[in-house]
Amino acid sequence: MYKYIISRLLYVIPVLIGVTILVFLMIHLIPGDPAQTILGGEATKSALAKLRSQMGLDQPLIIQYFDWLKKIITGNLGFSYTLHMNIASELLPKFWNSIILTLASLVIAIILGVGSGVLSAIYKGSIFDKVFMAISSIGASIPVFWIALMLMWLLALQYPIFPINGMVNMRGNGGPLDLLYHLVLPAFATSLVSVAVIAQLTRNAVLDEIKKDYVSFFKSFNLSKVHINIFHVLRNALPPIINIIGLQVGYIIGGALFSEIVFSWPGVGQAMYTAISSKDYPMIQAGILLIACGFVFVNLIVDIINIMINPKLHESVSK
Amino acid sequence: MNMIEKTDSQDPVLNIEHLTTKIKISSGEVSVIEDINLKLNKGEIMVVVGESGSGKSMTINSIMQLIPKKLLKGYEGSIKLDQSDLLTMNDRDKWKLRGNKISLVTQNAMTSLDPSYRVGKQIVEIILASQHVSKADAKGKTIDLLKKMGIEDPERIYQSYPHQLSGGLRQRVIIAMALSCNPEIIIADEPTSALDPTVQLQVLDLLKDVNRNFGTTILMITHDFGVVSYMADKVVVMYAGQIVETGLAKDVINDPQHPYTKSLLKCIPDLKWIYSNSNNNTSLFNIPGEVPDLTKKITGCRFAARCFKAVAQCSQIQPELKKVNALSSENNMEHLSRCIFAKED
Repeated sequence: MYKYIISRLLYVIPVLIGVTILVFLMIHLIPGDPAQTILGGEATKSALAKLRSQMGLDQPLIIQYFDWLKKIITGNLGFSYTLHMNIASELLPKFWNSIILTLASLVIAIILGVGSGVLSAIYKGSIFDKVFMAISSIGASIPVFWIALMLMWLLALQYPIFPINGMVNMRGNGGPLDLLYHLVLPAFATSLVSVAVIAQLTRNAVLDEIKKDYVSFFKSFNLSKVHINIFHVLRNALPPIINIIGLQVGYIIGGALFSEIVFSWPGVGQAMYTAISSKDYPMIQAGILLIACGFVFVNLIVDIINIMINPKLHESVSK
Repeated sequence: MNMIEKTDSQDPVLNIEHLTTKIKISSGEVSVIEDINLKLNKGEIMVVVGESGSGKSMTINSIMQLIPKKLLKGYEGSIKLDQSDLLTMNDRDKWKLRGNKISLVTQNAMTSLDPSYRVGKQIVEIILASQHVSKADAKGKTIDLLKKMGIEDPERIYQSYPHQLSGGLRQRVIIAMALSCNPEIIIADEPTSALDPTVQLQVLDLLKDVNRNFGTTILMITHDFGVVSYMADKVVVMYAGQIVETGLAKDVINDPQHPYTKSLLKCIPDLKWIYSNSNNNTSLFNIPGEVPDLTKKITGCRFAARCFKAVAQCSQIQPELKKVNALSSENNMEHLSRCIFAKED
């Protein structure tokens, strides 16, 4: 098992290098001269040249890349010329805010998605199953920003149960309850599509498993149905469910960016939105890098979990 | 180990009377088994034999109450296990019986264990569900059971996952699971048909040992008359949901009365005969046609369409099971046949 985990860990290295190359090249593919953007249209040629050499832009691309790589490895994400501040100190707290929103959405998606998927499969053909599956096939195709706006309209404006926004400082005076209160709508909005997708896949995985021979064999003993469904059926249906959850994390990260803008959640998404509007390239670069690393990390965890729960990859006992 | 005396004076362990099981189909209902009577005394081995579609699996599923509620229309008759009727019992009492008094050995040894758990854990799980013992005791009992199943290194098997074991070992583990709660009766659903021929005999021997050493009554189904002659005290031949012939194994095998039984016995290939006749265009015996569709109404004998002896009368009147002249002197089991040509007692 450890052999598989270590090889999976090593596999992360080339992926991360690939991510940095893509992110680095992206900023060079965008038309326009960063020095020109910073100094404005009326800058003199000598001033532009001076800034370029200051920023290292006159160096060959490969040297620029390694300079940048050296910086980001030491935690220096660069300097934002529009905000006039260090990107790391601006972005990292926002990154944590985004993680809170993403994790909350993920927890909702897993609990609701897996729970309702299992129930639909066990009560296949029941009214719950039919209604839920109809809702979820519609739900899976609604864009996040629309759900976010609708939830906001319904539960913050029509029936003001939850706040529209106002989560300015997460580590402020409100405490965890205040955080939860502000978290409910954006987290639900972000997770709903994933709830639908996870529920549908869970239902199919459980239905595949429930007709296997060992299930009817275990039913011939006096084990309760709930026990069999949780410890045997769901346990064996887990690998595909965990895989889809891993993929949905990527979708949730993307969806959270929209929710952050709609609900003014002070996260990376909102910062990226501002950065894109003001063409703050180093900021965009750093934001994309953080999000991509987060996604790579989540996929790593998903794969390690799948290795751990697969007995065929355990150290063999009988050989 | 003590032999359990096989007598008829005691009450039967399993007594099925007039059992009819009805299944829902799109056009109403169909009786998949009809008017089944079986009586098993303590320590006996009864083998139910028939083709697929004969209703033998449905008989077992009715006894184990494993027919999904969605499919089941209803039962008629009674299935008495130690005098208490499974069909009128509430669900909780039924659950208590499972594993405690009656347990199942399944057909598909390869797929009947949960692939995610070590096999020892699975046996312990069954023991803990039905007995008030500590985990350590359950583990000790499991190791002990595995040893009794003829497994040489039970500790290693305990720690193995199903995919690490051969079919024969898995079937032994399944038999150990079935025995883990000291059931009075084991229902074995074609326990050897998924195994290699060399392993089949080992598993049959193991079941015989279990029967002899633990006094466990065994009800087994098979499509293989070889298994019948190796194992059975009593045999029940089923066709299209009905019992067509039943009696002591030696009576039925030595003097089969129903044409279906005769045909089944003829289907057992004799290797020497095949070898010596392989060049002269003779084919092996087979029963033409297939088991009739029970959703369509059949008048007369259900086997008539495939029977080598059938006359016009056969497709008009449904024959009853009637007593025929038994060869053996033992009188505790009647030899019955559902054929108008059966020689009467």
